[in-house]
Parts: sequence; structure tokens; C-alpha cells
Amino acid sequence: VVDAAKQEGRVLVYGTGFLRGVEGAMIAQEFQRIYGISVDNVDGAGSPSFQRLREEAKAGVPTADIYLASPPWPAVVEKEGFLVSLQDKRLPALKEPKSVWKVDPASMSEAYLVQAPIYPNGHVVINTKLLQPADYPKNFHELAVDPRYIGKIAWVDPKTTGDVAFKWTIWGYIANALSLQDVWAIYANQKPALYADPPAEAEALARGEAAIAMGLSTFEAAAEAGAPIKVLRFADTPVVTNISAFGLVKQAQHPNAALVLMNWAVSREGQEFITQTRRSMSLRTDVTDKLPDVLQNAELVGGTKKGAAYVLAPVHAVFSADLHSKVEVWRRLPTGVPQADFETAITDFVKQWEAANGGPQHQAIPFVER
Amino acid sequence: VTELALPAQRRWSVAGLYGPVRASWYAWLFTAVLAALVLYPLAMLFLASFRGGEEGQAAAITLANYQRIFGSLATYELIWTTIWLATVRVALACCVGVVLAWLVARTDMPWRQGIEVLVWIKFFSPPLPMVVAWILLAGKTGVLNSLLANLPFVQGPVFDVYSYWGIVFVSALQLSAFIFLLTVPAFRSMDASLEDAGKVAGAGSLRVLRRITAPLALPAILGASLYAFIFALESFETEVMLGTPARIYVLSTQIYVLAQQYPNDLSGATALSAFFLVAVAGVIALQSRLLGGRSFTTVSGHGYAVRPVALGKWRWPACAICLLYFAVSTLLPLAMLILGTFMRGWGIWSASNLTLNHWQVSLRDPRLMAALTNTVVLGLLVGLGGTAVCAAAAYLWVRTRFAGRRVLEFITWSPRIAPGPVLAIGFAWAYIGLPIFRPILGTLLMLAVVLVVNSLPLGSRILAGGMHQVAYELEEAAQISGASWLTTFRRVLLPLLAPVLVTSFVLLFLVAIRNLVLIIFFYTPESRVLSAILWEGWRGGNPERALVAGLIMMAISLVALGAALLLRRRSGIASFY
Repeated sequence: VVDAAKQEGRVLVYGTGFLRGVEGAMIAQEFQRIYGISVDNVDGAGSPSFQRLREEAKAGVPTADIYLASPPWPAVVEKEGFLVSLQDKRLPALKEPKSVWKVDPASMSEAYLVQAPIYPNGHVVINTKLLQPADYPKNFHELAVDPRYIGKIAWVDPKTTGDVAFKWTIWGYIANALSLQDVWAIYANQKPALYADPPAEAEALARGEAAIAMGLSTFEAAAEAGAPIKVLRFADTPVVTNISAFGLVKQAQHPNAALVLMNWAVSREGQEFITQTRRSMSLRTDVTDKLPDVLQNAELVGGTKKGAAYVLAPVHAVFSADLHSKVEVWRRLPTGVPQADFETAITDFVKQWEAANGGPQHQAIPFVER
Repeated sequence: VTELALPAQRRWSVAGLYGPVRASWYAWLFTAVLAALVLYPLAMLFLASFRGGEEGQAAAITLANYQRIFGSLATYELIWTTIWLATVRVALACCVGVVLAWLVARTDMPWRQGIEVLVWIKFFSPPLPMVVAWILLAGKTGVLNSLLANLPFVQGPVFDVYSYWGIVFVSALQLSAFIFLLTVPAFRSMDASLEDAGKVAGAGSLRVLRRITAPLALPAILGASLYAFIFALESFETEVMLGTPARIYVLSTQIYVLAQQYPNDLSGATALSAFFLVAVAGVIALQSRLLGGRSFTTVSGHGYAVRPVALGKWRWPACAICLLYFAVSTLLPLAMLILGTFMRGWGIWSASNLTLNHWQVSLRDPRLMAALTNTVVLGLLVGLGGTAVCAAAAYLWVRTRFAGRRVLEFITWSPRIAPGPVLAIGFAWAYIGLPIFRPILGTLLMLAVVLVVNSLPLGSRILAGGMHQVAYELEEAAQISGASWLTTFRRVLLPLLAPVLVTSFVLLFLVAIRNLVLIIFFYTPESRVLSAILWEGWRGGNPERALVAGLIMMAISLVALGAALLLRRRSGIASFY
């Protein structure tokens, strides 16, 4: 495979993930140094990449070799039949003992591998200039009902992003730490500052427009630049980590090079380099995570015991996407919706979804947190 | 002045020149090719709005999407907010842009040429970073509020950019530059003897301005305003960044969300886009009604006088107002942009935050260097190709009796029917599967094709404006003297149109290199351009490096402008227009 891959000479990835930015270029260079295969990628976010992949597949002219994305997109692309099954492919890293994995990369699908855990969710981020330690919230419920937090919370606008449905899936449906009443109360009573997406929310917190941001996003750079930012982790609250995953595209022009890259990216050698370069979490137990200080030093509040750790299962990613797009009531949160209407609409959807999917699906995939 | 509005124009008949059969086959072929490129993607989108079920699945034709979208009161609230916001913005932008254009083109204000270049610089500025710059400047915790908070009589933030007025202010500044660029030609090519006649007849300066200058410029002002209105209806970045925190929503935000989310609702997005079809049709009808049957001829065999209006004691105050406009609209946010490239985190105000790292890393990045070359090549391809295609289209509908000219005019408008994110999907649906495009998929040529099609509304409006101004008698004189159509075109029309062709080239070059929404559907590593680098940096949580790419894009734009100025000087063209 490696010889054939070297003949192919290059691999093209749709999506960014570990190949994003200057750090991504360094990772690509390291891979090229080892195997002599060049790596490049095209960033099209979720939907544009998916549309491109689909039109190219329909026309029989696929450009991409690997599709790399966060949920729900890998599951969507798999469902559409654009990925090749990896079961019979030579990926030596997958033959390693189960004990080396915090989460088994092949555990989610036949057609894609988990490349890395990203963005653990069970946290809030605060601006320390605007919030004193005595006012640190202890849990999500307190944030939703305590008048001290009126006008201090930054969250996203459900009219422009599905992030609220996603966060409720993680914190509410899976972790049982955020109720629907709490979600409604934050929007109805706490006068949150709303932003178009999580990065805009993170930037606003760093600038001091809000004191508390719901969930982690791209805070690291701002924290390192001196923004007064601190991460709080709620005691006894499960942390559910998202994933980045990749699969081999059908009719890829460089299938062997793609397999070599995928194998390297989950191997010890590759994970070591990627984790160090990106300062990210590792998929493996034999590679030490190298998280930015702001995450490494997250303060545990409301108790002394950390909650359990999980990674997001594919079914939850699709669930949260459906939950946002098919339940219109989320989009009425910013301008006002009766609490009963809100809860009923979501509860009804959840019941229907569970009935169609073989019952409740609260259990995420256990994750060895380090 | 009234007599200038001639009842009808004589048009050259293409059929008359080349014979009835041979004469028009190429015009029809040209129209058919444009229709295929433009209407095929739009037709696919239009059909999608009638499709039931999920995208990509066989489904029944239905009106349910329209019932769902237009049966909701919320849609009408969105339409109302979109329309009134666009109207207010265009009205303000029109006031500012037209006054600036008049001062630059028709008066003896000092530093006129320099001010014109400054407005171009405003036009070059990358829109998304400029909006964020305004958040840093005029947000509640922004620089301006922080400075004003030091004053003893100021309580709380004075400015709040997250508001209706924030949206109006920021986008009116951008639109005013656009209107300026489209209206300066009309003021510049106006015959000063008409104003002189008014003064001789006893009218004061204000009356001359009101009764002579303004009516003469009306077609250009109206055309620019209507185009800006469509532009404002579809505008997205400003609304989503500044409107979301204030719970202000417009159609473009909603369409973007429907098109981008998973599972996406393209049927809903395309049904909602039907509003733009109605708006564009309305604009075309309005333009025809208001301007139909009038003559805009200013370049004729008689020659015309270009004498600036003397501003007297108002010369320097007028100049100061123009400079103030530039300082507020461009210098302040641009300073934030430049500063941002030297900050480890944009908007974090501390000395330890300063760094050269973004420039060092970016300038060492081979992808950025390759993107720079690609950007210039793409700009040239779109500038030249777009100008050629738009000129041909405008020529056919303005200066011939080609039977399909109304269809052609509609085709050139039609890319504006769908907002950018939806249009991009339509192009992807239509073009990626077409065998003719397979050899060029992923290349700069493919990007150029997409961007040329996208540039049709702007390019053909500019060129049609220029062609309307050239009197038909000049071509007729050449024809009577025995010149062939080609000779007439080459020796008479082309030199007269040279200024507007240069303007079209520069504008299309600039618009192409700034485009983002279409490029992300078609670029590959080999055809990566600076706007893709900007997008990757922005999305990748590294806005500072995105800003470096944005500033390099601006530098390229300045070089393009400089080259155009040089060309203008060497070829003896009095102005760009």
C-alpha cells in the first residue's frame, strides 16, 4: 500500500480538522517527510464540502480522496454512500490492542475513523474581569434561574445555528445536566447576548461584551493573547467530547495515499506529532494530551468530583441536527415562546425519534479522560 | 434640457448590416450560451422550490414549500425588515455617494483625484473584516465607547453597533462608495454648457443644480440606486454579525441558514428566494418605466464642455467633508484591521499582545504565495473575460435591434435573483455535472467562468450605461463614410467606450478577487486564491492571519487601480469613465 501510495504521490482532503491552518501545514510537511506523499486540503465547512462531494460523486468526477469533518457530516456522507468501507482495508494501526485507545477509531462506523476527540463539552467560559470568584456559577440550573446572571450570559442564536440543540443534546439528553426548562429560562429570563455562531460568542466574551459563554469554542488564542478568560467545569457533570472523523471517498484518485495518511494520523507516531503540534487531545492512551493552558487549568466548581467522560456517538450527532432543523420552536426562543409550547414540541420530537430508533439513546461512548 | 429627452433612439439593425439570416445567428448563439450558463442553474433552483421530500431524492412536485414559507407571518416580518432596512441604507448611501460624486466630478474642490482614489480604497476593503472592525470600534466595549467613557458627562456606552442604526451606518458607508463609483461617470460626462445656459437664463447655483444637473444625472443615480437596493436586499455579513445580537433578522440570514444547516432545507431556501425574483423583476420594470423613451446621450459629434462648478468659499470645507467621510468610513476600520495583523488576539488591548508572527508566518507560507499569483490571474481572467462578455451583451441590447435583446437584458440581471449562498449551490448543481466543464473543474478557469457569470449584472449595467451615452450619429457617420461594422466598432465605438471598459475591468477584477461564497464551492489546492485563505483563517479560529490575506488582497487592488490610472494617463483617457 505504501509503495502504491508513493506512486500516487499526493492526497487531497476535503475539510480541515487536524490539517487546519499553519499547524496543519506543519503536519502535512511531517507526513511528506516520512512518506514522500504531499497532503493538501480544501476547506468548505460542513455544507459546501458536502454539496461539492455530492455533485462530484453524481458526475463521477470525485476530486477528494478523504472526507474529514465533525458530526453530523461523516454520518451523513456515509449514509449517502460516498465513502468506501474500511473493513477490508490495510490499516495496521487498527490492529493494535484495544487498550491503546481512549476511543476506538473504528468503533463508530465501517466507513470512517475517529481521528481525534475535540472540544470537550461540560464547561462554561468566563471573563474574569466581569465575574468575581464568589459569583462563579456551580451548575447550568443556577445559570438559568439566578438573577445574578441576568444580562451576563453569551450564547448563540438558534435562528442562525443549531448549536443550542447540539448543546442540549450533550448537556441535557445525554448528560442530564441541563433541562429544557433551563434552556427556556436562559432565553426568556436571563437576557442573554446572542451571537451568530460559537466563534463570535467566544470573541465577544474575550472583548468583555459578556461575562459567561455557554460552552467551549475557539478561546485558546484569545486566552494566550492575554484575554481575561477562564474555563469552569461543573462538578459531577458529565463531559461529552465531540470528535473529528475521516473516511475514504469512493473512486478516490489516490486511495492508497489516503489510506497511508489515515493510518498515520491514528498511529502512535502520527498522534504524537499531531497532538504536540496542534496542542490537542489524543485518541490514544499511549500519547499524552497537550492541551492549551486555558483548558488544562479548567477550574472545577460546585464540588470536588469530576463527572464522567464520553465521546459523542454518531446517533447523537444526527439526532441533534434533526432536532434543530425539524423542530421549529428552537428558532422562536430569542423572540419569545411559551414554556409549555417549547417543552412539548421538543419532548414530542424526542419521543417520535426514540420510537423510530429503537428506544431511548442516552448512553454516549465512554472515554478515558486524562 | 427637456428637449434632450428624445422620444426614441435609432438603433443599428444587426440584420441590416449582415443580412437577415446570417446576421443574427451569432447573437442568438451568444444569448443561448449565456442562457445555459445563467438560467440552467437558476432553473434547477427554481425546480427545487417545488420539490417535496429531501434533497437528492425523487419527489413529487408540490406547492407545499411556498405554502409553508409564505403562509407564515414570520416571513412577512422578515420581508418588511429587509425592505425597510435596504431602503434606508440605499437612501443614505445615495445622498452621500451622489454628493461625493458631484463634488469630485463637477466642482473645483481641491484634491479631487486623490479623494476619488480614497473612495476606491474604501470600495476595496474586505467586507467581513470591516464589519468586525466596526464591532471593535463601536461595540459597547469598543474603542470609541472606551475613549468617550473618560469624559465626565458621558454615562454608559454612546455607540451600539448591534442595532438597526449600526447596520444602516456600516452598510450605508459601503454602499455609498459603490454608488459613487457608478454615478461619477454621469457627472463627469455632462455638458457644462447646459448649466451655463441655465445661469445665463438667470438661475442661481442651487436652482441649476436642482433643475439641470440633478435631472441630467438622474438615470445614472437611479440605476446605481436600484442596483444598490438589490445588493442591500441580499446583503448578509453585516446583518448576521450586527443584527443577531440585537435580534434583527432579514431574509438573507434566513436563506443562508436554510441552505447551510443539516439537513438543509433547500426547497424552503429557494422558495424564499422567490422574493428576490419579484424584487429584480420589479426593479427592471421600474427602471424601464422611469427611464424608458429618454435619451442619455452625452457623447456626440458636437463635443461638450467640461467646466467645473466654482465652489468659492466652500471649496475647502467640501474637501474637509470628503476627507472626514474617508476617515470615518475607511481609515478608522482599516486601522483596526492593520492593527489586528500585529496582535496575537484581535481586539485584546495589551502591549504584550503585539506580535509580528502573523506576517512572518503568512509570508513564509507557500500556499499564500501561490494564492497571491492565483488571485492576480483570476482577477485578470474575470476582468477581461467579464468585460468582454458584458460588453457584447450590453452592445446587443443597447445598440442593436436584435430581437432577443430584452431576453438578453433579463439574463444579465438574473444572477441577482438568487442570493449568493443559494446561487453557489445552483452553480454547483449545474456545472459540476456538465461534461463540458470536466476538463477545467477545480482550475482557475472554472472559477473564472463562475465569477464571469456572477459578474453579469454589474458589468453589463456599467457598460450599458456607457453605451447609452454614445450618440448613434457617430457610428452612422462612419457607416456613411464607407466603414464596415468592424472598422466602425474598432475605430469609433471602442475608443469612445475605452474609459468605461477600463472601469468595468477594474471593478470586475476587484469583485472577483473578493468573492468568497462562490469560490468555496469550486476551488482546489491548485486554484486556491487569497479569499479562500481569508476564509480558511477566519473559520479556523485565526482571524489575524485572515486579516493578513485581506490586506494583501487590498494591496493587489491598489496595484490594479494604479495600473488602471497609468493606463488612463498613457492612453490620454480623461477619466475612468
